[in-house]
Amino acid sequence: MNKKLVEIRNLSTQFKKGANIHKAIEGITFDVYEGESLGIVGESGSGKTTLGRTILRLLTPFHGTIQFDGIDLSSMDAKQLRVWRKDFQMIFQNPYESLSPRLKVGEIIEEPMVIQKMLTPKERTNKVYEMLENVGLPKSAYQKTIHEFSGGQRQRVAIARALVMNPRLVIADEPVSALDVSVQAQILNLLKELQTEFNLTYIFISHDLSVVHHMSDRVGVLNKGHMLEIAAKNEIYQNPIHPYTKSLLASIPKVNPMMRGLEAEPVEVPPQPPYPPHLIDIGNDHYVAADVIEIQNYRMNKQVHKSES
Amino acid sequence: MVTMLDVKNLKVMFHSKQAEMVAVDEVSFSVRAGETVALIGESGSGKSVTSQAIMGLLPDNGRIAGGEVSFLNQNLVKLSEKEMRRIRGMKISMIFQDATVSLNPTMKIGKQIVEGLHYHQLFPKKESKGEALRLLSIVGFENPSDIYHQYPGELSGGMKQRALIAMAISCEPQLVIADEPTTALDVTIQKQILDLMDDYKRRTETSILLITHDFGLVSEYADRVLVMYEGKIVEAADVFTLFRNPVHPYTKGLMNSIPRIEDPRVMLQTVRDMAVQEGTFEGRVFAPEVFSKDGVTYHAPSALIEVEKGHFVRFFTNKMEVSRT
Ligand SMILES: Nc1ncnc2c1ncn2[C@@H]1O[C@H](COP(=O)(O)OP(=O)(O)OP(=O)(O)O)[C@@H](O)[C@H]1O
Ligand SMILES: Nc1ncnc2c1ncn2[C@@H]1O[C@H](COP(=O)(O)OP(=O)(O)OP(=O)(O)O)[C@@H](O)[C@H]1O
Ligand SMILES: [Mg+2]
Ligand SMILES: [Mg+2]
Repeated sequence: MNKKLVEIRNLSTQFKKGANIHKAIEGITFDVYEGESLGIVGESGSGKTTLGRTILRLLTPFHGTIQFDGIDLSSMDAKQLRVWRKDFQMIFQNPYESLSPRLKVGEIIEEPMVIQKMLTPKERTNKVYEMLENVGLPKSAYQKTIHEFSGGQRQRVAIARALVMNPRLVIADEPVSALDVSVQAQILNLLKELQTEFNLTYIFISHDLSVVHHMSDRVGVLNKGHMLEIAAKNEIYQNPIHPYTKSLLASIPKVNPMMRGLEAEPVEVPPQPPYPPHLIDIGNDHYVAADVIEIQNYRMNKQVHKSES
Repeated sequence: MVTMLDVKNLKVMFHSKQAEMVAVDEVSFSVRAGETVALIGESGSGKSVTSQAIMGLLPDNGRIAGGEVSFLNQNLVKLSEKEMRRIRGMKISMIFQDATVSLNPTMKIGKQIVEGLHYHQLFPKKESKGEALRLLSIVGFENPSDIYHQYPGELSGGMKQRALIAMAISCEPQLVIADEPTTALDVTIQKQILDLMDDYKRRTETSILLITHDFGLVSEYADRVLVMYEGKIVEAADVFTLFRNPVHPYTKGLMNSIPRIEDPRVMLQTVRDMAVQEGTFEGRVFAPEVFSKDGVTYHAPSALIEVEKGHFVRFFTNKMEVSRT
């Protein structure tokens, strides 16, 4: 396996809601390997965006550490972080909100280089044209503003902006959820091509399990702020252990009207304990939140399956 | 079965400084009582404009340039704004694509729902809070009384969309036009909400016009499907027929561009790939209106062609039979 690029330990982020404290994510631990694409799935409100924003230190964690290439980001202040910002970038769900409507597209893409005081103006302009080409936009896009583009084109601009600094880690938060299927296919293809070309590491956040399956090498399952299971893609999709993971998989649309009413039996999901779970390695780098008895049962089932086949 | 909505040759135009542009072109379809009709197509194909025209909510620079919209045999195109307002919200209700713009950011969720209930006078004022809480739990909130007191900005994207759906079903409409109602939601909640709308529809004979680009939803909930491209309907059939035998390359392209778990392809196929493969005119998705074949000039037929019973397709390749003009 490749070397670890990100190591997340016991990460928690909280929001104040009036007098209450809301634990948006709690006790999250996992690694991201260089060059891989790690998918994060979970329901609305499970904490996916909060997790992404905390890793990139757009939010300050309440507890825990984030090591990026051996450096601890969790306790850095804004000034210290600035040096590292270029190495990690985020692509947001809503390209309408995240890109400035007043700037030209060329300026939007150039901006991170200006902030980092990189290259000469001439070199920066060339770099912008190079990025436009990489994401499949025409040269003429440089002079336009973001209103003049469709959702898919705006997402291409967002991708160009995110990649212009040659980041090592890209967190894509629902990058195609707001796009229609035909444009979604183009953007997913583009993200895959660029990953190979620039040797990028992705954290790919989505509630769409088919999209995550298509894009990821490993997948982590988030529910109510806790990570419940994390493993290689095929382990998660073909050999899910946690009942919550099973229930998510059972709800994937079949895209076939003949299968109506033939849905998988709904899976009973036990209530989530109030404290973050400890993940147990059941082999094959497959980690799952489970107690000792559940693990024993699982191992026994696996033995039975083996002896049957 | 009663025809709830009947749209005939609807044409919508937008004007800008330079020119007029046709956004919806001769669109015809009907929705019967208790039926779910899906309108599917890529971004910019004219789905939202079609629904805005039905609701009388076109932006100022848009106008209905032809055709009829009948709702229970009443032509809505002819109604005054005041009469239209009574139909909207009471009989036809709309769930918009973007919850962020449809919710008032400065008003608590509960208050917004209660105001809607008051406006339509469906509940005595005393009971409206209880009703609002019931609606919030219907759309899947486990803690409706917390949500009741929150502002839209404090909710995640999916939570906002659910609040909006609660508002839309609060007036017990006869026709719900749902424009991408669950695009921002995860599968579990999406399913929960659409099951709920489906169940509500069955109990009350409500009709649903479901606007979406998601074939998963169409396969699960639609009775009939209209595929729209560049303002025109290119294919129409009942859902089983369409999935068994999609004919138009655009429909096939949409179906092939969805990632599926059982599918090992590394790259997805796009609509353009499909058009090229299906031998349309120079890889264009559409046939041009006038074309030549063997030195003879033809006009592409403007009406949909019935390729099998109840299955209509717009002309797209010169391999389809056309008459000489
Ligand atoms: N700025 C904030 N202030 C207060 N609460 C917040 C804030 N941002 C998120 N939350 C809360 O934290 C929880 C997790 O939200 P988050 O946006 O991370 O979810 P998500 O998994 O990305 O959901 P979605 O799929 O709907 O985008 C939710 O309960 C949300 O209400
Ligand atoms: N206010 C407007 N002024 C001018 N043109 C408009 C206006 N609103 C929509 N249009 C144009 O009408 C066409 C159809 O747009 P519409 O919003 O119906 O697309 P859609 O199918 O709903 O797409 P999406 O999936 O992105 O919502 C587009 O070409 C769009 O640019
Ligand atoms: Mg999110
Ligand atoms: Mg629309």
